[in-house]
Amino acid sequence: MSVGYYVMIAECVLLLAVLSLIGVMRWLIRRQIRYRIQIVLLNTDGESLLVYDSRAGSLALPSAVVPFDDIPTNKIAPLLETCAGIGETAYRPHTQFHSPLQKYDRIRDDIGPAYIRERRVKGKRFCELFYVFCLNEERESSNFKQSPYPEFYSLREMEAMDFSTRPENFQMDVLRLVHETINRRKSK
Amino acid sequence: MGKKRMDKFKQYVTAGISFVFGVLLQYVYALAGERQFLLYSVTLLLFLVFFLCIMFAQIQARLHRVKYSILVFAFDPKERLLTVYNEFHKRRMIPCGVLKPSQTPHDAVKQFLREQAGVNPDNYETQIDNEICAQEASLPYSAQIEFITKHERHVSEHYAFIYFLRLSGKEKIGNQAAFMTLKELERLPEETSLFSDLLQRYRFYLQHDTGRQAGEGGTR
Repeated sequence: MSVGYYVMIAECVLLLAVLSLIGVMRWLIRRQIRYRIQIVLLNTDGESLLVYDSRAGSLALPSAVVPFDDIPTNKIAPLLETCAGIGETAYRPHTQFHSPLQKYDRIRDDIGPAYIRERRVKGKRFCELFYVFCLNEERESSNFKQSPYPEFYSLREMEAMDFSTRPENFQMDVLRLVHETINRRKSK
Repeated sequence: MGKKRMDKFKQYVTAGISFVFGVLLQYVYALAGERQFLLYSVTLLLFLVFFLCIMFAQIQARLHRVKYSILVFAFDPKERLLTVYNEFHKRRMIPCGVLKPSQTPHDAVKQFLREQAGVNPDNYETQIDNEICAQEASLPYSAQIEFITKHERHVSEHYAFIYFLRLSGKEKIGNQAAFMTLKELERLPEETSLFSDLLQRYRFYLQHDTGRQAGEGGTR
């Protein structure tokens, strides 16, 4: 056999290696946890902000997937700015859910998630990080986007909504927990 | 993909293409005629090797850009902090570690507590579950800290989840682990005690969460 045939065999082996590498890469990336932030923004009446999720066709908490090269807290301000037109100075971390250790001068400083939940969507694993914020009173009537959404809804209003319109069950569960926690601590 | 990384990626591609074309040209001049088969094979081989390199760079860059890690502040009912001797840092530390890309934070906490402190996850009185933590354990139970400094070549940012848990105090703990008070930790030489920022967090926790003064917190 000439040298060419040996090279051809080597090529076939390498091609197989490339294909299996593609497979391994796809499997690794699929296995990798994706972080998604979800924001519970409460106004002074205890109502939470919901936006229209065009994919699901229902109301939902503002959420965004964190890119692989970024950290979750970097996404909070752009997310609220984009989906609700709320500036960074209009809200602050909720003291009942976020540590007093954390500095409040900038949102990205040491703000930890209030709830962490794992979720599987179409085979991909998501780690949902829920942050709880509240509006500053003086900024209550800040210039939100002029549209039917986003709006603040109370838990009772959400419960009364049709299943196809209201946020998904896992978001409703967290919202219930948030309200329960607030009420329990208030009563204490 | 970030702009800087995209630029880097483009550089790789450009360098690779020019390299392959250079080699190709050389071969065309040197091996014309009856040795065409060898020429094509070797060229294809080079292309494959080149694509392998690109893919390897891509995998590495995609998988570990942000390093997520866990720090666990676990307290007993007397507010003593669970510490372990850390071989890497050569000092006492709280249970901690880096999250694998396929690992959830809650799972990692259980793993680190089991492996480093010998605490069996089945024996927690307070489960490591945020809902239960929020109700049973005191605030703050979950927080994070960011280190913007570059730790490794491919790591752009370091992001740590900090857990605050309360254990029942009845669990068995490993030989390397011990519940320590703030005073005991402060008495240790600086190079063998907790890192100062972690110590400060413990102090802050005692002051703000339990309402005790730093000096009296965590006493036996």
